[in-house]
Amino acid sequence: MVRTLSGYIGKYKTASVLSVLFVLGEAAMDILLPFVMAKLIDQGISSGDLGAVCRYGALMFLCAVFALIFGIGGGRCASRASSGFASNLRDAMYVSIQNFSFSNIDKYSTAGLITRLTTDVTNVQNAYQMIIRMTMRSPAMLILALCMTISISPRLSLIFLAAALFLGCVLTYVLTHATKAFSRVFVKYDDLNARVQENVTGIRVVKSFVREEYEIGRFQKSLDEIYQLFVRAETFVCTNFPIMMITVYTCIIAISWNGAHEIVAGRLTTGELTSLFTYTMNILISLMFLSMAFVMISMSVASGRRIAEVLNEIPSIRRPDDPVFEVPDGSVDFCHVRFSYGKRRTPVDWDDPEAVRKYHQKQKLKEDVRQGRISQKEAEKLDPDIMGTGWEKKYVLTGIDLHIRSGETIGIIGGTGSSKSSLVSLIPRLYDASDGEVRVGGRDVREYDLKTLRDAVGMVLQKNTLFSGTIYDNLRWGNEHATAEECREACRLACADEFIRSFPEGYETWLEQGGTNVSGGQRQRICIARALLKKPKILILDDSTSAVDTATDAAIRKAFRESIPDTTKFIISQRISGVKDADRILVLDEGRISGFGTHEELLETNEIYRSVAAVQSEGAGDFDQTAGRRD
Amino acid sequence: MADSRPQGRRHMTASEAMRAARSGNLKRVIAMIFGDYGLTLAAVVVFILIAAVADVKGTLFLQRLIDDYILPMTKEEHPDFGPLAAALRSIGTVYLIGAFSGFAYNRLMVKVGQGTMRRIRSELFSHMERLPIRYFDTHSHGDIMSIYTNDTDTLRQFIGQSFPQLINSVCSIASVFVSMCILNLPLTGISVIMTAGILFASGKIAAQSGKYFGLQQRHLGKVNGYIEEMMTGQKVIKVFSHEEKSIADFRAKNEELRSASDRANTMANILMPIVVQLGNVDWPRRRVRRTASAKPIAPAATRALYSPRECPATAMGLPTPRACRAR
Ligand SMILES: Nc1ncnc2c1ncn2[C@@H]1O[C@H](COP(=O)(O)OP(=O)(O)OP(=O)(O)O)[C@@H](O)[C@H]1O
Ligand SMILES: [Mg+2]
Repeated sequence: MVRTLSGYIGKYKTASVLSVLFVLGEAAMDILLPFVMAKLIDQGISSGDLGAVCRYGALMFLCAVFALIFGIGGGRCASRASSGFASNLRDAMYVSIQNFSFSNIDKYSTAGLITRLTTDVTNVQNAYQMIIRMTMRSPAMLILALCMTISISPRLSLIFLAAALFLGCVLTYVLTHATKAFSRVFVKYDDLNARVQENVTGIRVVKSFVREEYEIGRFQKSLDEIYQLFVRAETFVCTNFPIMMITVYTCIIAISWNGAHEIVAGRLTTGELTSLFTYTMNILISLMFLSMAFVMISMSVASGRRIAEVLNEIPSIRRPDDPVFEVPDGSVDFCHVRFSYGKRRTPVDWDDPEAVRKYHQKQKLKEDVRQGRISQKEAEKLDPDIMGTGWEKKYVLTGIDLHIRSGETIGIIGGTGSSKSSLVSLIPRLYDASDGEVRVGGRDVREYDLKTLRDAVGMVLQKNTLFSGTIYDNLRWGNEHATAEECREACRLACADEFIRSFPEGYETWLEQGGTNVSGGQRQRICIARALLKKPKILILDDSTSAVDTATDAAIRKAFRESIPDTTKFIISQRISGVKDADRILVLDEGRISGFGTHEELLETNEIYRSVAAVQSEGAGDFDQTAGRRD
Repeated sequence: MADSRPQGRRHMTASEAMRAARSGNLKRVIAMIFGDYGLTLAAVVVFILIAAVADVKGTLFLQRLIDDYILPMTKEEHPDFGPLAAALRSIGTVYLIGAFSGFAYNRLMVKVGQGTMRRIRSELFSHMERLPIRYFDTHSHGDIMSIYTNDTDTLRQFIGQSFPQLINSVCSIASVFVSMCILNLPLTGISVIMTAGILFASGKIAAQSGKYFGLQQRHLGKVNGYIEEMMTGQKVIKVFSHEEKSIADFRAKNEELRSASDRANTMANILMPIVVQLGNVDWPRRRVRRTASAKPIAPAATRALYSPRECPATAMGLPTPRACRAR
């Protein structure tokens, strides 16, 4: 981890080294000062020698000035080095993530990636600054101060040694425990925030079941818990203080007592005694800082590890060595394709309160079994998979063999989870097929340059987002150089032109992050227009008109048929009406092809299709209420 | 159609509004602290004063140690260490009392700070549960969450650090001043002038560095916002082969953050040595300062060490639960 990260110090190495040198110089000056001061007292003030006072006074002043220069230089370099290092890390991680394939992204969850790029980098930045400033300074101070005390009085320095050892051990002990206590608090904090989020997203459920008071009570309970834990953790920090003070005071008393004896015996001067007091503080404070630096660095190790993980991640989809830069036509072939997302746990959708509730329930049940509060048999009755690891390799597509000519319109229909999205995501190579081959324009997709392929395949993702910026800005994602007229043309095709022009600022309307300030149906139509601007050879709409009314939906399909007849179109829909005028319709059932043909053919031969059509023609229900829940 | 229309460019988001309201509410928070913990705070002040007096006594003793105890003994044939032992014993007791008071007021402040945080969070949550559903429809969830994370975090920093530090600094300045008056009146005069100079200089630097820190926070916010948006839309970026453009935009923002962070940290790093060295030049005050002022720094420094990490993810205003769980 250290090796991975330190590679990114890059051009800030000089600043780092300089900073360490400056810090050491400053420490040396700090140590020299009390020494000169002792001379000033003994040879100047005590004996009334004005010349000596001036000489040592000037020397002291010089020391102070140098210390100041070193201090400023050190501060400047340390800050330059640490913020440069952090910037390099952010940059490298960002670039690395941009090269991630979809399966790389899936592995890390969006929130996890954000944490790494933000909080974790800040932690490492602070730790790095700490390392180049404190970890060098404190030991240097410690050693120099010890040397000085030894040179002044070897016998008295034994007191320091004992105190330093004692304090070092005790502080490390206390601080490691404090760190543990704090990390317990962090975990509870996550739970607390999870509870808030649960309530925010599921507020309708809370309100409709009149659970407000209950939720408030529950929240109060976890607040109390956090309070207890927090007070415990902070108490650890507070005990630091009397321990340090008592050690310092013990040292002072011991030095006073023994120092008095030494002075009386003529082995020590009063000036030397005064500087010994200063060194006491020096030594003990640097110990204090050292132990704190130790804790702080060890706390940021976790952050460093997470950053290194991203930096070392190998993109699972790479550009071929000798890529093809031209897609001849829009034909698509699936040749005996089988596909699996890999061995993985079913991910929990944290936006879905029901899923979150289920997850917590399962965790609790697992914990109960572990603690022996409930037998494994009983637990399995409640949840048959309770003892399973949750890891399995599941094929979501099997035996897919399809041949689609350029310019055809293909409707895809099937229940939730029947792998409609998975199937089409293989076309622009968002994922690679596990077995078999996916061909576009007669060539294996893996032979194409990634950008070439994805420019030829316009895809409107099911979970689509817009970005903050004007509508124009968003549309030009499809084509950077699109003129206003081209943008409008695309919007007309997607039936978006009309409502956009009704906005007071028209195409210059500012969209918030995620496009939250336009309605769902409007958002979907802007997304379609954005994909159209690519002028793709293949256009994929993954449930992209689900929030658009049926009439507009039909208008969009009609516009497609008339204006872009040569584009191969894949239209995924939950509604029969959305696919029935397609050239051919694919019926998917649990990752297998259940039927493939025209509307009329399917009505005759495919039972699933027929039952859905029957229900939907009565104007009720979508796919899931009929076919999806057959079993 | 009317209400589905976008509300124009850059309207104020919920958390911005809350934050604006919050700054006016600082007074209310302070009133809340004094209302709930009046007695505890009184005890805190008493302990701080005891600690300060013990401190002054200790410092004065170090002054007298050489002149009143050690020097006379050097002149005697058979020096008597009895008086010194007795003095050390009594000063030891004073030190112990001082250390205990120091512990006591820090520990009490923990209670005050955490108790207040608990109350504010609880009120916030009860208030939220009673809001109409409309509120949740018109505000993004991230915005609502950030009130719990970012804003309470700022508040916690105020209660946990700035507030005790304020009480502490006032008391310790008073104690140093008193001790110097007792030590030596003319020297005190010089010291007051020097102190004023130091305060002036560090005030200037602090104001500058505060400005830069504000700038750094703003850029950090921008970069974080950009990262959040791009990571959320990462799959769309891939579908549109928008990687290069997104890297270029990020680089510009990242560079701005780097230079802002560089400047802010430089100011903070320079502030320290300047103040320390000015203190060194001001040597009459130094002996007093060394012992007296190292103390309030220690617990504050320790607390500062932990506080930014209290909840690592919240500090950045992320969708916290997922973020934290992802670690
Ligand atoms: N990124 C992913 N990682 C792992 N498994 C996934 C992923 N996306 C989908 N799956 C799994 O693959 C299966 C098919 O999902 P897919 O999204 O293709 O279905 P769908 O037909 O598009 O459903 P819907 O109609 O809800 O959009 C599901 O069992 C799902 O759990
Ligand atoms: Mg889907």
